[in-house]
Amino acid sequence: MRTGIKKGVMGMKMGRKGVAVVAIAAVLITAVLIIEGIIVANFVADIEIVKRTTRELAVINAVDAIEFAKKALQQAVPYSFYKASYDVLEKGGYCASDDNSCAQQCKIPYSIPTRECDPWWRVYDNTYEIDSSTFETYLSNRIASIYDDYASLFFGPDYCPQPPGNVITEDKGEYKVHVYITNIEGGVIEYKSDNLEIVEHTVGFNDGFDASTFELFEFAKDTFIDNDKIKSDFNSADNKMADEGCKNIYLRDFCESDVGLSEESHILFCEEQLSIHCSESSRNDPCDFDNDNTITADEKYNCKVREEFENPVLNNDGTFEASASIDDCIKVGHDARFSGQKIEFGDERWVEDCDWPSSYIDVRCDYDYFGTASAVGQVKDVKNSYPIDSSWTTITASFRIASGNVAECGGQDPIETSEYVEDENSLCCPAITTNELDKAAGCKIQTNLPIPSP
Amino acid sequence: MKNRRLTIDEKGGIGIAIAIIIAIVLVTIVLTILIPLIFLKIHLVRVVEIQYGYSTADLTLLALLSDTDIYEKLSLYVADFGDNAIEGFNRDNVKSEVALILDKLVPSETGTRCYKLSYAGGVIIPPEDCDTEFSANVDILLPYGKNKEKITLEIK
Repeated sequence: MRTGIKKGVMGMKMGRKGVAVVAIAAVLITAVLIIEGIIVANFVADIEIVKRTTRELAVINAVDAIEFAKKALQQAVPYSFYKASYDVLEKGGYCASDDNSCAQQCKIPYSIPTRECDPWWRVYDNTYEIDSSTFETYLSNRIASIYDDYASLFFGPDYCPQPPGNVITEDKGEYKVHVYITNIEGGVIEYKSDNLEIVEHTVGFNDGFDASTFELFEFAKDTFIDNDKIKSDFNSADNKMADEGCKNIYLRDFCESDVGLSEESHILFCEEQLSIHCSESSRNDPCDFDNDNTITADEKYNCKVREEFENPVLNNDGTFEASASIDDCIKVGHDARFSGQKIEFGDERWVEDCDWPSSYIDVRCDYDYFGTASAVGQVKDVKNSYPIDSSWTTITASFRIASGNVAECGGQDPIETSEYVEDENSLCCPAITTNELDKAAGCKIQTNLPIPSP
Repeated sequence: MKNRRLTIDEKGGIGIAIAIIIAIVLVTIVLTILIPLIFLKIHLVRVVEIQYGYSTADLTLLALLSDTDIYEKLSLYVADFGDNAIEGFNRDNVKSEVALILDKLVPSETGTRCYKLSYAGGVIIPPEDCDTEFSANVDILLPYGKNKEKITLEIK
């Protein structure tokens, strides 16, 4: 009996201990579950925080991207202008496209003759002037094209910039310009990503900066169209032939048997005198003709004309230099005029040793030199350079000029633009006295028309 | 059966059990409060640091490029045409000018002068003796024909 009670008491002790262990275990499990729940809840909350953070960063990035894009588009304004100035001036004020075909590349009106897509500004007295507003239109078109390239280049697939709709250029004078680029659609800059789209309506971009484009163009027109530099160069070279002793040759007395009676014989006499007094065997000359030992008066004139061509005309402040280089066609020649006092036999001034009936005293031969040339006119900005392509680059207006100081060319009919004109004489006219070096090869003129099918 | 009084040993065992349970409950309550706070702090610090760091780098770069003419000057610097005529452009002058601006911008945002401005062609402003942590990139436009180039600003 006593043993049974002991066992009962022992059982009760063991039972109470078991309850305590179970209770502690239950509290522990509950605590662990609570802590675990808190941790899991925090992780879930963290994921949400990370998502929101990511969104916030995406918004910040998008806003920054729009701001950076606006900076880029702003900077694209002067860069587009510089490049457009270079392109358009290089094509004589035309050219608004990068298309490969000649006609589209230049987009020169059909009324303007061209050669290898370069426009003629002058063919003798016929000028093909491009007025300032037309020049601005071509310049604006080219700016728009380049600006669009910039937008496409800068923006990746996530961006959808609208191309510029309008470009307005303003000449502010003193080598300053202002350019306005606006979009017909209102100027929308759009940022797109998987979860975000931001659209900003921008009226446009404008910038004012230094550039000599307009002044250079006007100076080029003034030099080669309003004032014919090529013609002036021929005349100037003619005057400078006096320094060579080839302009006026003063001779004393001659018998009629030496001079002749007719006008033709007088001219022939003067030509002989020219070859005697003006031709040289020396070769210290800018034009060194390898295949000849003597230099004729016409060759001297030819050299002087080339010197005049290359001698630049400067504008008032020396910023621009206008010069010309002969393309492949120059013709030169001269006229001779004889003068002298005819003395009849019996006159006290009679030249002795002459046979009668007459002799000449104070004989003089005068020469007028003239020529025509097909040239490339160039006006260069020598003081400023601009960041274009891969270097600091000067802008140069380039175009073709055919002119000279031959009066007959002045009356030439305007070049027909409805057909190709391939007659070399149509440029280098008239068929004046030439030497063999002055072939008119390649002096062709063509119009800006599509090539007809055979 | 007659009720038996608990022995001292039994009373002590129950007391210990109750004490353990109370301790567990207390620890659980403390941890329940502390753990979220610790996690919150860790995440807030991380998030804020990320946002602050990258935003600061981004905004500093944006502020730099917003300064008058700096965009064009940096663009010409990166294009690397050498020095030439346009408004007396000079690469060394650009470096000095940019450094002057960043010396004002960066300390006000980060409290240090620790920054580095670079592009693919090299470092524009040399780094100070410090490790940078956050960076911001931007593509800047170059003169026509040279496309674009990435500029990177790193800050502490």
